[in-house]
Formats: sequence, C-alpha cells, structure tokens
Amino acid sequence: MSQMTNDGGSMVKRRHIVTKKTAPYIFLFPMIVLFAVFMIYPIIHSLLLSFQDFSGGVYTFCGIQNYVTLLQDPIFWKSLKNTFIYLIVQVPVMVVLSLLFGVLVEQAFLKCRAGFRIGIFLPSVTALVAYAIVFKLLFNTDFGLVNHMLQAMGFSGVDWLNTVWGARMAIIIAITWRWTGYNTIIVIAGLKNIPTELYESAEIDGASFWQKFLYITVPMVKSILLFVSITSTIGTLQLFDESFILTGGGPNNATITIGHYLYDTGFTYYKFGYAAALSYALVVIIGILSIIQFKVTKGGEE
Amino acid sequence: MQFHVKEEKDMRKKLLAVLMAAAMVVSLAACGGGGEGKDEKADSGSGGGDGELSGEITVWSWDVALAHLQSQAERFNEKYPDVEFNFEDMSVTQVYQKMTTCLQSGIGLPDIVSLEGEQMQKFGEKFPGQFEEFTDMINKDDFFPIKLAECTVDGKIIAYPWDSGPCGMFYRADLFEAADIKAEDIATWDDFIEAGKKMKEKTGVDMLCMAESRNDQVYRLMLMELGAFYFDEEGNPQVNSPESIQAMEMCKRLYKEDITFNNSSWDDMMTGMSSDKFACYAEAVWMVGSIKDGVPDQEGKWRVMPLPKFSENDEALGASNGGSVLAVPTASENAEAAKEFVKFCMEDVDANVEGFQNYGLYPSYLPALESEVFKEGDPFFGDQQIFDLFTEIGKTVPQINYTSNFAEALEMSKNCVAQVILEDADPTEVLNAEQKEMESKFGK
Repeated sequence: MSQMTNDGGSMVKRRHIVTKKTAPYIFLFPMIVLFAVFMIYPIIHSLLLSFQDFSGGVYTFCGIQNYVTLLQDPIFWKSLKNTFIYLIVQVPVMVVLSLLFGVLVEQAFLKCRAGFRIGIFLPSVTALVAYAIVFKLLFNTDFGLVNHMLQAMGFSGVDWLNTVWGARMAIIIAITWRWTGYNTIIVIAGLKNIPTELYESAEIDGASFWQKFLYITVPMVKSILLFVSITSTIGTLQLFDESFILTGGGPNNATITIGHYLYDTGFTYYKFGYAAALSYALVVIIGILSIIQFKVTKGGEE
Repeated sequence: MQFHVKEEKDMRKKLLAVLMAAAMVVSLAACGGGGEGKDEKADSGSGGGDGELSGEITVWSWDVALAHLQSQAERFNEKYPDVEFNFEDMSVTQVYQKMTTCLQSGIGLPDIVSLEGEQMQKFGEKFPGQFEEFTDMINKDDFFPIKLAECTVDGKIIAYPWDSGPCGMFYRADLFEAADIKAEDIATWDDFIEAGKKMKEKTGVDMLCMAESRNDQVYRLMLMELGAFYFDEEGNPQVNSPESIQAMEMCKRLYKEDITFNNSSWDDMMTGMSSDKFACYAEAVWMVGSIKDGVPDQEGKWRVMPLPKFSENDEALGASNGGSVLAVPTASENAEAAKEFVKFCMEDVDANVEGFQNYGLYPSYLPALESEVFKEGDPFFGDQQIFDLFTEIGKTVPQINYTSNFAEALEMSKNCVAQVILEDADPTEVLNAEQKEMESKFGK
C-alpha cells in the first residue's frame, strides 16, 4: 500500500480514498446519510411546511398565517394549559414519591430488596397503549374497579373520565404510576453514591431518621432530583398516549395535550401546514424551558 | 496499470451492452404484450364476450366489508376470469393512515378502497383528481339521496354508495311493558321524556343511552331530523341556527330530567345494554347486528320505532349515521376493471342481498331493498318488520354537505355537548361561540 502511494502519480493517489484523514468520515458516512434523511430533512421540511397551506391537493405558501391562526386558536391555548397543569401537579408529586420509594427500598433492614426494586420498576416496562387501556377500564364510572372500591369503602363514586378534574386526575394518576418507578431507579443510583460515613457520624451525634433524611440524603441527591425533574418535564410536554387513549382529550378538551392536538390536526383534519406550525411552537416551548433549567442546573453545581 | 484501466473500460462497455440488450428485450416484450392485449380485445368485442377485463386489483377494506367483497370477487371471476384480486384486511384507522401517506406521495395506492361516507368529502376535496369518476356509470335514482350526497364532490360522483345508516330508536319492549309505556304513544320528544320519567319511576331504568361528553350523536340526529346540519348546502357552518339551538336544548332537557344513561365509549354502551341500564338507543340500522352479537340472550325483547319528532304535525325527516362507500384511486393501473368490479358489487341485487344476509350490510341500492328478504320479520325483534321501517326512514334522509371539515366539526360539536350538559352552559351562547370558531377555522 504505502509503496504504491510513494511511487505513484496523481492517479494512484486518487485510487486510495481510504487514508488516515478520510477514514473517520467514511465510517461515519452511513450514519450521516441516515441522520440527514431521517432527521435533518424532516426538520427543514416541516419548518417550510409550517409556512404553507394544504388545500385542493396542493401546498401554497401562506406566510405566517399558520402562526397567526395558532395564537388565536382556543384549543391550542387549552392544550398548553392542560400540559402545564400536568407539569405543575404531577412532576413534583412524582419526584417526591421517587425519593420516598428510593429511600425506603434502600433501608438496611429490608429483606428481598431486589424484589421490591423490580416491583417498583415494572410499570415502566409495560406498553404505553396497554396500560392506557387498562386505566380506562379501571376508571370507568359505572363498571370500573376504582369506583367499585370507593363505593365499597362508603364513598360515592367519581365520574372520572367525564368531569374536567376527574379526567385530569385520572391522567395524572396514570402517568405517576407509569413513571415513578423509572425515576426511583435513577434516585437509587444517586443514593448509593452517598458515603455511609456521613450517616454513621450522624448516628453518633444522635440524629433522628428525619434529620438524616433532610440534612444528608436530600442535599446529596439534589443534582439527581434536578435531572429527574428535567427529563420528566420534557416527557410531560410530549405526552400523547394517555390523552389519546385514556380520555380522548375530553371532556371538552379538558385533558388534550399539545401532542394529541398536533396529531388530530395533521392526520385527522389534514391540515399539514398548521400541524407543522404547532410542532414548531412545541419546539420553542421545550427550548425555552430547557434553557431555564440548564441555567438552574449550573447554579446548583456551583 | 494502463492495461488494467483499459481492461476495465472494456468491461464497462460489455456490461453496458448487456444492459441495453436486456432493456430492449424487456421493452419489446412489453410492446408484444400490449399488442396481444389489443388483439384479444378486438376478438372478444366481435364475439360479444366479456373477457376484455384483466389485471391485478388490490382491495383495501375492513372486517365484514372485506369478507363480502372477497365472496363477490369469486362471482365476478366467473364473468371475467382474467382479473386477479389481492385483498388486504385492515382496520378503519389503518386504511386512513395508509391512504393519507399514499395520497401525499402518490405511491402504493390500492385499486379499490372502502371509506366511511362522512369522510369521503374530505378525501375528495383535499386530494382533487385522485379518485376516479363514476358520474356517467351511476343511475342516481337507484340510491338513497343521502348516500349520493356523500359521494359527490364538486358535482362529480367520485365514489360508489355502499351500505347506509338510516337511524331509528331501538327500544326494549319488555321494559316498556313493565313500565306500562306504549311505543305508539310516543310521537314527539316531549312524549318521550314523559315516558322516560315513568320508566325511571317504575323500573329504575334510564330511558335513553346518551353520551355526556364523548359523542354528539343524539344532538346530531336531532339536527338532521330538523333538516339542518353543521353546514348549509354551500358548506358554510351554521351551528347557531334555530334548529341547532332547539336540538341542543332538547339534549339538555333529556339530561336534566335524569332519564339518560351516560356512556363514554362503545364498550360502556354495550355493557350497559347487557346489564339492563337503559331502555332506548338511537342508532343506525347496522346496530341490529351489534345488538344480536352483543346481547344474544335478549332475543325477542328488542323493537324499533322511528325517532321521536319535535312537533306532532311536522313532516319528520330521517337521520342517518355511518355506512361506507367504495372509491377507486386514479393511480390504479387497472382502473377500468376496478370500476367495473365496484359497479358489479354495488348494483347487483343478489350481491346486495348476500351482503345483507351474510354480513348485515344494509344496502343503499333501492332495487335491492325491494327484495323479499327486507320485508321479512326478524325473530330477534319479535318478528317486527324492522328493515322495511328503515328503508322508509332512509328515503326521507335529506342530502347533507359534510364538507372536508366534518372530522374537526364533529370534534367541536362533541365539546359543545359536553359544555352544555356537564358545565350547565347556555346552549345559545355555546353554539354562537362554536359558530365563530368554525368561521375562523374553516373560512376561506
């Protein structure tokens, strides 16, 4: 190989495409092509699409009309509001629960810890559609298990899926069930990194369980908790299955998420341009929230 | 090295030659094929036979509809043996998802596809020129007017009407008897409400199954009874019309009188039916099959009456819900054969009768509805001649402009029902707001 390159002219050089310099690019080439076709092209195309209107079988350029419609669309604002309700209520509850479960499962006196860990993590391996359908059956007003149990305990049943807050609570309960285990495992990883000496010296000083929890555990896993809240926030913004299957976005759009409205607009109403504009609105919102959280994280590290 | 390059050049030349030769052979074969086809056509034409149709036809449909087309394909093949069929069974949503992407790209479309009647306008308007026209093939007097309206876009008939969904009030005769209610006495919605109170008082059973927030069916059927719809004939929204307000107010009254059973899904409704939670259900003729399948032990207990009217002296119009149509995308390579097959299935009395008897597909083809089978009493319905009743209702269903915005309007309408019933909102205000939103969203 090297001999040939030494004595050859320009032609020989050309024949050897694989050199030390080009090799990385050649190896990366398939990935770059796939990335361009399935990521970059759709991203650019959907941006262009968001400035177009689809009617009569053709796309016509319509300027920022889609974005103007978006700002005036009551359902868009409602879906945004719903998503933020889920965020504000569900994310804190879930983070606290994951911490609680994490600490409980890691207690030294507990036997069969692996079993508990598996039990807590299991919900996040179930298929999204399957769990949404099961929850739909559980929350059924007349025949559901939840109301059956409430009535057995002497309470009156709740019309879960047909009242605004009932349906929202059903979704929040469902998401919490699905994702708490996943976050607990991350928290447990953080708990394992806390040096045991800290607890030992605290015990010598006579600290109670709560004092140890508040002054050792919580500060030590702060960055983990922040990470968990960021990923949960992004996950909540992209929520789709629960709204689509469990409540169908109803009643009166009280539970519809941006993702669900986006799907309806594009694939049921065939307003592809408007759907693209909605998706870019979502991109902007996630971007802003990420920047805020990024800054907060940096503050936490210092 | 030089020699090596030359050899490679020669190789390339050879390869090119081989490829060109191959291409020529293929194109020649294609020409030959075309020629043969023409000859055959001329021959059969002089012989008066029907053997000219050939080609492979791919059909996308669902469930029993597909099964029916499959059995008709065998009969079609007796006449046209050269036509090959390829049936693909999908769910309704699957058909729509695939159609959406295929119509956008123009690749991979089937030769025949079944679509829900209400959705046809959307496909026709959003993708103009992508469906074959049947305007000259179809005899307009032979079908229910509502079904033709579903298939007509811009004055062109771009699909064939298939099964239809004239609506009646299904009711439980045994519960009516227990509550001492006579179906003949119920002519108006006022009568219906009075009877409902009696029903609740005497048996504890709710009179009507009506979704509070997940469906606008009762409201929509009332609208059609009053000769109105979400849209006027030109397709402009008119949801705050006096008829619409009247219908919405009636729904609210039904709910307020506490005589309705709420269902948030189809499964809820079926469970409620099997556990005797309600006595009446307003639905289309295809519900007959679902009742028989869902509650076989209630045989003989069900009957059908026309939907109650708003005032006794009114000429009642019929309401309709559901039913599909068959369309042929223009991208089809064998469009002629496909269209002929569609016409064969839709306009053959035997085919329609078979579809009804074997699969419960209630046709919209009027000559077929004249057949004896539709006059017979049904033992499940206490030997009542229910299908005759549905045919009469079907003829009175007015033509409706569903427009390409039906899916979105339906969603908005469901939300209005939810507001009026669950949030106790004023029907006029809600419908005025809906009208405004529709105008801003659908206005051109």
